[in-house]
Amino acid sequence: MLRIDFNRLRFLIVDDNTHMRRILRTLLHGFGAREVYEAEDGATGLEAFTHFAPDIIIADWAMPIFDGLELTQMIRQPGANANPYVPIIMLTGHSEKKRVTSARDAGITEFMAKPISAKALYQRVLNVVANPRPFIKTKTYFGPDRRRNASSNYVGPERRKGGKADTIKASTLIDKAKVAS
Amino acid sequence: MPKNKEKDKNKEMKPSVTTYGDYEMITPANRLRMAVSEVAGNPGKDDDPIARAEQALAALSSEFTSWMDAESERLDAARRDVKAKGSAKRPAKRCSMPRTTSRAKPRHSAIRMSHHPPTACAG
Repeated sequence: MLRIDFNRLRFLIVDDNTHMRRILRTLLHGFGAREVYEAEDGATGLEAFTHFAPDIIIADWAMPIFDGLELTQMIRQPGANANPYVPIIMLTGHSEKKRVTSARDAGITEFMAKPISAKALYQRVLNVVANPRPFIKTKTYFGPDRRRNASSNYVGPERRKGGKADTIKASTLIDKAKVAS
Repeated sequence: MPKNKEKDKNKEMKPSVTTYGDYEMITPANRLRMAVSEVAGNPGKDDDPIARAEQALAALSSEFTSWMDAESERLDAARRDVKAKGSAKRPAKRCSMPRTTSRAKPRHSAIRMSHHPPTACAG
């Protein structure tokens, strides 16, 4: 069984709600974390990220100055800061599919819908620590690989060019019809 | 630290990059691996971090009612304010900057902006 030594990790909580920050801090301290920093908006969060160099960021979506999505986009700029690969756990009450997709495309590492639980938070942290995904850099995206699993059933067009990605064949409608009959 | 060892360490921390047709796959050094360890069997209740966190949260829960009271009071004050002054026909304050400008903002201006009064936003 894998276990995380939380006291070896440095956290940054970015949330405009003081009560939510307190709950997160309580949970993290309960897990055993010692270093937990807080920021109450996106701008202060970015400043704290530069100053404290956290290992993991937990960010709310809707915040003053700039939101969690914009904060993620600013951090995920290769060369712009010391650690563009830092895991970002997005914590929000907005869990519609469109929101989840937007967050994923901004470069978040994990998504967590409110209300939160100790177990959900622990699992997200465990995942980013024990199963880190490689980063993908394209003309329009820089962030963790959005393909969490390689699906052998996928038959659509391959959007990544070159290397292994090209070996996935796209079936035509005729092929599909032949298989069905 | 000897120079060679320092070089080796930097080399270890450097992400490995594989370039494909139109994208790069970057595998950063896993700095957090040092925080993971393997334990045999299931931990006891006292040793379970989730149980400990839940316990801490339960202890905190006695304050939830007062938090809700404070939030309700704040919302009620805002409602009374709107009722007394009327809802101004100004555009609603944005919780964030337009996405189109955020990337181009230099960091120093973002820090300076932290002195602006916060706007109320739902999390």
